[in-house]
Amino acid sequence: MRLSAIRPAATIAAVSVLGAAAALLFYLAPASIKPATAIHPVWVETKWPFPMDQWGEGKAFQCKAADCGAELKLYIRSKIGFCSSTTGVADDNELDRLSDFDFMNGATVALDKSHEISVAWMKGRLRIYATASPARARATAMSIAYNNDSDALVATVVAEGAQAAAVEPAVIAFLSGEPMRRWVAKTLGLE
Amino acid sequence: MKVLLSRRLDSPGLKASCAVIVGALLASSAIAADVPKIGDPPEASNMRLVGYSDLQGRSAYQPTIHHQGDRWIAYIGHHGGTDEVPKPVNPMTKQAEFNGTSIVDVTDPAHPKYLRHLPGQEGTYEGGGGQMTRVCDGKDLPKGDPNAVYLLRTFGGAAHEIWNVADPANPKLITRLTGLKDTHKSWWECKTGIAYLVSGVPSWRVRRMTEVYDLSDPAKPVKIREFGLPGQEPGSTGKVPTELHGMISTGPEGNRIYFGYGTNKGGILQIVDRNKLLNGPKEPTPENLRAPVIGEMEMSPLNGAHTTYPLGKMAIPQFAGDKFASQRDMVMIVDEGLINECQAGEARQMIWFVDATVEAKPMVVSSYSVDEASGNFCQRGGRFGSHSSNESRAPVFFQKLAFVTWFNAGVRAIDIRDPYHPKEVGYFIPSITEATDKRCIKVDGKDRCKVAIQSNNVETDDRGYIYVVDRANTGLHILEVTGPARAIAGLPAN
Repeated sequence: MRLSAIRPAATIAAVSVLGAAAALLFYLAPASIKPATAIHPVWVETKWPFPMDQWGEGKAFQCKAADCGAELKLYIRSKIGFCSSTTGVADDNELDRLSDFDFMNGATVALDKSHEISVAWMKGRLRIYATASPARARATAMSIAYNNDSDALVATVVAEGAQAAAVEPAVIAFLSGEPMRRWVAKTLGLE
Repeated sequence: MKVLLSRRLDSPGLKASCAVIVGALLASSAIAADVPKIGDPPEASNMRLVGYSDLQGRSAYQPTIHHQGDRWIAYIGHHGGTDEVPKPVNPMTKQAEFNGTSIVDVTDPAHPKYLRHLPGQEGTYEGGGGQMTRVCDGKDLPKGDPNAVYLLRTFGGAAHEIWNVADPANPKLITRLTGLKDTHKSWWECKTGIAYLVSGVPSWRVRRMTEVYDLSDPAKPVKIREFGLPGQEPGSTGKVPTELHGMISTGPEGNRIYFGYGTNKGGILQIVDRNKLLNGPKEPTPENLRAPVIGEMEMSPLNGAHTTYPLGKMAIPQFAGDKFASQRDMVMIVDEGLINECQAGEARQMIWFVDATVEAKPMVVSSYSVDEASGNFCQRGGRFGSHSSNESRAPVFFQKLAFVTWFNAGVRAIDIRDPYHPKEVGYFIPSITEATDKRCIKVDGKDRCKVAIQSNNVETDDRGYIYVVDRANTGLHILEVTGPARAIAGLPAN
């Protein structure tokens, strides 16, 4: 490769790296959300907003900014028989495979590796993503997948104008609560 | 009270109610009659049982029937054992052995001889065993030992193995490709040695993708490349496309490989230029993964593509008078049903006929499904839906009859001479035995189990025998077609 070709390429690469770093800082910058301990989530069920696909409909909820510190939308549905009963949601790849990226409404970039979570009697993983869409302001999304034997439950949380990570405790508490436990048991034929 | 009762009995409403109750009782007894019992005869139409092997009570997947010298040998892959019997006893060795591969001499199909059980990976159900088998003669492989016969099999999900089975009773391990997960339904071209191995390479984002290998010298495997759908490759982000299930290559002559992605959901048929796949740029970038692709067809997300069986160019009867496109390039797609007793989480899985004459724009033109009501199959227990077809291209059945396993509805013989209008012309549902395993669903939070046939895979041989194996441990049934189905194949009347 000629030197003259390298210089523009190096410049483009440097700009790209700086741009990506700036974008990441933008997403990681302190958000205007209240600390999780200070919020009092009120989850209101809404109509399932997505068209039919292979997994069918689930449940949709909304938590207003006044109650959750930021506008949150939560979607959850089962994916029956789509998980390994032996290994569960073992790693990032398995979480990505299970996730409903279509619900995040835009291109997604994982902001970190996933981490283990427990929801009621089930275990799984949670990962935070930045969503980028020309039609939207900054948004982050959270994908949570956990399993009961070979059946997976997949929750997607979209946080408008805030970091989804800040509301993780509130989301996990909601998913682990009695109404959602009953829904999971009914959906998976456990009761 | 009597008067009142009499009046009630005379009332039209009550008569209607009684009629409903009697009808319901009749219906429930009909359903009860459909629940199989040990000792019941097989259910059959235009198909007949020729021979049987219990396969040592092991859950079975792929049968490959190989003409080996003057013998016919069946190599049958197994899933792992069950929770109750994780390691069935091999009556030949008196040893408990993890399920692997059954090797059965079927030269006389009426009296199959069990030659050897080759143990597989430790583990139960899909977590163990060795489900897949393909066989090539050493004399056909460009660099093979001409005296050898090679069995390519999976070892659980962890590896691919090649054994020399020239003496099928005494296989010798040649090669093991390890470090994998979820190995499955591979394809091996015997004339070139090129193998398309369904593997889980840990850096990829799916459980199953394709490793292309040159196995022309089975002792010295050479990896050519990795392949999958863009978005599955290492380093990609966002939505993960449907994972691979299997593929069938038409070899250098046809220069096409038909990949099937998905089992019971998100099915994709992908038509790939074999030459470009083998000789094109190999780094798994999105561009390089797209480069050899000629056409792709996304199915309804409610169905998958377990088997993508190229039927080749076929004259379509109703187009016989057409001066243009009277022949069509057809592909049969077989979905896989996964859920027991038609429960939530899955739509009905069936077979689809695709007109791929214009390869860039393939289109489904017809379908076939077993009539559920004909046997109350949703009530019988276990899975009901298609799973797998024969893959042999031997002239006896090719482009005439297709055989497709349908779990508790047994195996179905389908007249595909007009693939725009496929018709069922026969079926065989084996009888359950003491070995047949139960299948359960949750009712009120508890397991409710039934014992039912789960015909899982099927293959045919050049002589016209049909080999059906059972996922619920019922063994191998060797069948032949009779009556009109036999006439379609052009076989002499029996």
